[in-house]
Amino acid sequence: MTVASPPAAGPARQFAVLAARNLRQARVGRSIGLTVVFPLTFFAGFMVVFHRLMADYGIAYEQFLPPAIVVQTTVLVAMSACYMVAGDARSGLISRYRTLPMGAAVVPAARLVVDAARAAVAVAVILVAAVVVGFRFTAGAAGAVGFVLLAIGFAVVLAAGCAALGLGARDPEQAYSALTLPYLVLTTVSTAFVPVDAFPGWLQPVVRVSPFSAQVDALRALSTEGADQRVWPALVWLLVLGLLFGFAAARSFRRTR
Amino acid sequence: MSTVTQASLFAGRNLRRFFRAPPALIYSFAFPVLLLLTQYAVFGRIVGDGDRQHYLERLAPLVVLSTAAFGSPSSAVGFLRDLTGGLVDRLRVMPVRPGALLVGRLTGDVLRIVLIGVLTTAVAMLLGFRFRQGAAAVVGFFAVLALFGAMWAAIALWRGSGPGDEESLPPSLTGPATLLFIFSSGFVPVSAFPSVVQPLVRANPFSTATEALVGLSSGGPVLAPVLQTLAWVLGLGGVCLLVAVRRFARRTAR
Repeated sequence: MTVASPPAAGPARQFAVLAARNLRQARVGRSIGLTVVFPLTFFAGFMVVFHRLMADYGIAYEQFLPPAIVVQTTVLVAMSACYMVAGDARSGLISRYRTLPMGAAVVPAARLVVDAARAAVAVAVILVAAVVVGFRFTAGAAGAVGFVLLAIGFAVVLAAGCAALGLGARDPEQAYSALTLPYLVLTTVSTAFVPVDAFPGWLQPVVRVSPFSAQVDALRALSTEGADQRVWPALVWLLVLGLLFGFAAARSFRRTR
Repeated sequence: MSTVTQASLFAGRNLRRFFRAPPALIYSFAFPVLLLLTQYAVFGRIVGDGDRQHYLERLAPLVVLSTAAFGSPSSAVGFLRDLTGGLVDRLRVMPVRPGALLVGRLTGDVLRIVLIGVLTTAVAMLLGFRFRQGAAAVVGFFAVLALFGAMWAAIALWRGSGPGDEESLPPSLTGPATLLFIFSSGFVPVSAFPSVVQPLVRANPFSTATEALVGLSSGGPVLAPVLQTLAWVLGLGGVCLLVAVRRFARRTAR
């Protein structure tokens, strides 16, 4: 006796099903609080705490801080991807996917496209809040579009790296808390919150080469003077990290049992 | 076996569990140290008005205190697991006073907080932080930390015994703790805040405890900030502990 198998879904349909599932997962979990509420609270807190001190130092913090909050938000989006991927790996969902007749790229694509969408929403919320307190795009629409695209690109590249880590992790909580220390160090030891000259002299070279400084400085350029030479380091970092993390993610994905 | 012995057994159990989970252990010690180093490097010049050592005198006490707050999520989750994982049910068939578990948790948490606080203080001293008020003040410094730690341990018991699961508990504690940390007089001077929020910054338990620790290390007023901190510990900590005890009693009576 044979059972007629239903017609196989095409790659586009497979992608849509997986992406929709990842979106639902993000909605029920803690990711909205983490990627939207936390950065907004942090933004408000830092504006209140540092606005006066930075003005004394000669910096308009309402223009200086939002790119940093945008970078912080994209990092949090990527970190929550690690948590979700680790959960999927532990529950056996990833292994289950492998037994299904699906294209090899469908699972990673559904992950990264959803992360890009989550980053876009989070960045949009931050930008609205930033404009309310006085942040402006003075380089026109092209600069603004470049700003958003660069921010989302950074989120996707980091999400690939975090997914690689999450696939190899046994415990989502542990994988996530392992990321919080590098997160703390990398975001603060950069030009995100203060300019490079506020750091101790010996630390300034480290601050200058940080990929987070590159990203924040490029976003600052795109929101003020437009695309200038400050954008190149960010693009180079994006390419290097994209290759590195993409390779790492592909490797751990193949190795996941 | 007396209640005290029982409680100390539970305190010992919690400390052993803490030391036997290497990732969490490394995180508990590394987080305050990295927080101290990064904030010192990033904000020292701007907040200290050019003088990093001046900033360190206030930042180090604040970071030492933050170990109490940022350890509370894992402590709350630990208590939740005791309650839901069968430990409490098992204890009900044994000649153990239920209160011993609560007292043990509280004591274990305070010991852990003071231990991490001592290590963080040692790192701050490498950067140039100094105790200038004599030996009694050093004891007072860590006594205030222990009191502040008891308040956060009570908060963890309250959250761990209440509604919420392992996923929702940690952010419900780290969120407010982060805000209190930022809006405190240890992070930036009160005068840098907009005047509307200055009274709130002064009343923040992190500010009162920081002022007390500054007074007991670098020098400054001690009595008033210690009394304010004591009011927070007895008020907020007391209420949290009472609620936790009631919830716990209801659970163990069933």
